[in-house]
Amino acid sequence: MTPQPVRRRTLSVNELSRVEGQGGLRVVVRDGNVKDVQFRVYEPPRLFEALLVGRSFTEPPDLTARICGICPVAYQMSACRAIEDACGVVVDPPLERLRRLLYCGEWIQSHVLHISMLHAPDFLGYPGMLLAILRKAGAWVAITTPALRSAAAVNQSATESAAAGCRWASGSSTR
Amino acid sequence: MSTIDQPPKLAVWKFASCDGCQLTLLDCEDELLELAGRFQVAHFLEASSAQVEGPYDLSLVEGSISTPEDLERIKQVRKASRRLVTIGACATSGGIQALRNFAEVREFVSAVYARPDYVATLERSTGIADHVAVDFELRGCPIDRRQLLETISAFLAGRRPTVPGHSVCIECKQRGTVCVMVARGTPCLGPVTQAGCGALCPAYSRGCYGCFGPAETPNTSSLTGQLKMLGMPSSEAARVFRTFNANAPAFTDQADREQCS
Repeated sequence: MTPQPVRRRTLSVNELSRVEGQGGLRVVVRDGNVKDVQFRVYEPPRLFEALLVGRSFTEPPDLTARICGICPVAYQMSACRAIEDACGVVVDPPLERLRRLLYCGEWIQSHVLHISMLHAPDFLGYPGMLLAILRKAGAWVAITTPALRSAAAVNQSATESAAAGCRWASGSSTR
Repeated sequence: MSTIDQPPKLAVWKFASCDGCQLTLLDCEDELLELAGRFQVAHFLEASSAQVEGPYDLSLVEGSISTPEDLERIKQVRKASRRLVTIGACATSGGIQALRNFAEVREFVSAVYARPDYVATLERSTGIADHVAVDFELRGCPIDRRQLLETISAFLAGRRPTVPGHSVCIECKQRGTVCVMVARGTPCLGPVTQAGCGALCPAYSRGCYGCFGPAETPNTSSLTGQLKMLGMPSSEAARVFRTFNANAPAFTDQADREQCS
C-alpha cells in the first residue's frame, strides 16, 4: 500500500477587505485539518485609553466616537455609561429610551451597510458592491452614454482579473 | 493618463484612522452609481477585495502616519499616484491620535497594552503632507460628503476644487443660525474653524468643537479671550484646541500658549 502524500494547503489573505480596520489572515490546512491560524493585525495603535486621561468628563463621548467610523454610537454610549457609572448616575427612563432609539438607529444603519456593501459581495460572488451595482444598473436602466458604458466594461474586466488573482476570492491556494 | 476608453483609476488608502472618511464615499447614495461608472475602482479595501496594480490617477488617503511601516507605505502610495488627496483630520493634521505628540508615547503604549514590546509606533502622529507632497487636503472629522464630491468632480474636470477656507461663522449666517456664543454664551470654536460641515453643531445649539481644523488666518488668541470672558479657565482653553486637529500649527500654538499661561 503506497502512503498517501501529505496534502497541505495554505490560505493567505495579506489584506482583509470590507472590514473596519487592517489585518491579514494565514491558515495552514493539512489532510483536511486546520494546523495553524495566524491573524495579524497591523492596524496602527491609536491609544485612546491613554489619550482620554486628563480630559473633562464631558469629552469622552466625542473623542471615543472616533474609534470606529462604522459604529461611533456604540463608543459614545459606552463612554456615557462609563462616566455615569463612575459618578453613580442613573439616567431617567425617557433619556434611556432616547438613547436606545439612537442606538437602534445605528444598528439599522450599520447592519444595512454590512449586509449590502461589506458582506453581500461574498455571497453573490463579487469582489465588491460597486461593481455589482454597476452591473445591475447596466441590466436595468442601460447605461446610455458611451463613456459610462465603456467605463463599466473596463471596471468589470479589471476587477474580475484582479479577483482571479486574489487568493481569497478563489477560495484557496495550494503551496 | 485616462481617456474615454480607459476611465481614471481611483485608489483609497487607509493609515491610522477609523474608516469614517472613506465610508463617506460609500455613503454617496445618489451619486454612487455615477461615481462607480466614472472610475475604475482600483484599490479600495473597505469596499472591494479586488486590487488593480498602479499607477493610480487619483488616490484618496485617509489616516495619519504613526508607525514605521506606514512611513514607508505612504512613499509607495505617493510614487504610484498622479494626484493625491488627503481625506479628513487624521490625514491632514494627524487626527485625535496626535494627542500622543504632547505626551510620552511609551507611557501611552504601556497604559494600553499588556505587552508594549509587541507594539511598533512612532513618537508622533502626523499628517500626510509632513512626509510626501499632497495635491489637495480635505478637512473634517469626518469629511463632508459634498466637499468630497466637489473634489472628485474637480479632478474629473481637471480643475482645482472649490472648497472655502473661511470660518464656520459664515455657514451659521448662511443657514440663519443664531450665534450660540453671542446669544447663549456657549463656548464655540466656529470663528477659528474652517467651514465645510454646514455649521452642524451650532444648528443644534451646540458650540463648534473644531473638527475641521483651523480656518484661514484664524485669530485663536482673540477667540480664547472671548472663551475666558465666558468663564473658561486656561487649562480648559488649552484642551479645546487639543482635539481632532491638535497637531495643526494654529491650534497647537494656541494650546501651548494657554498651557504656559
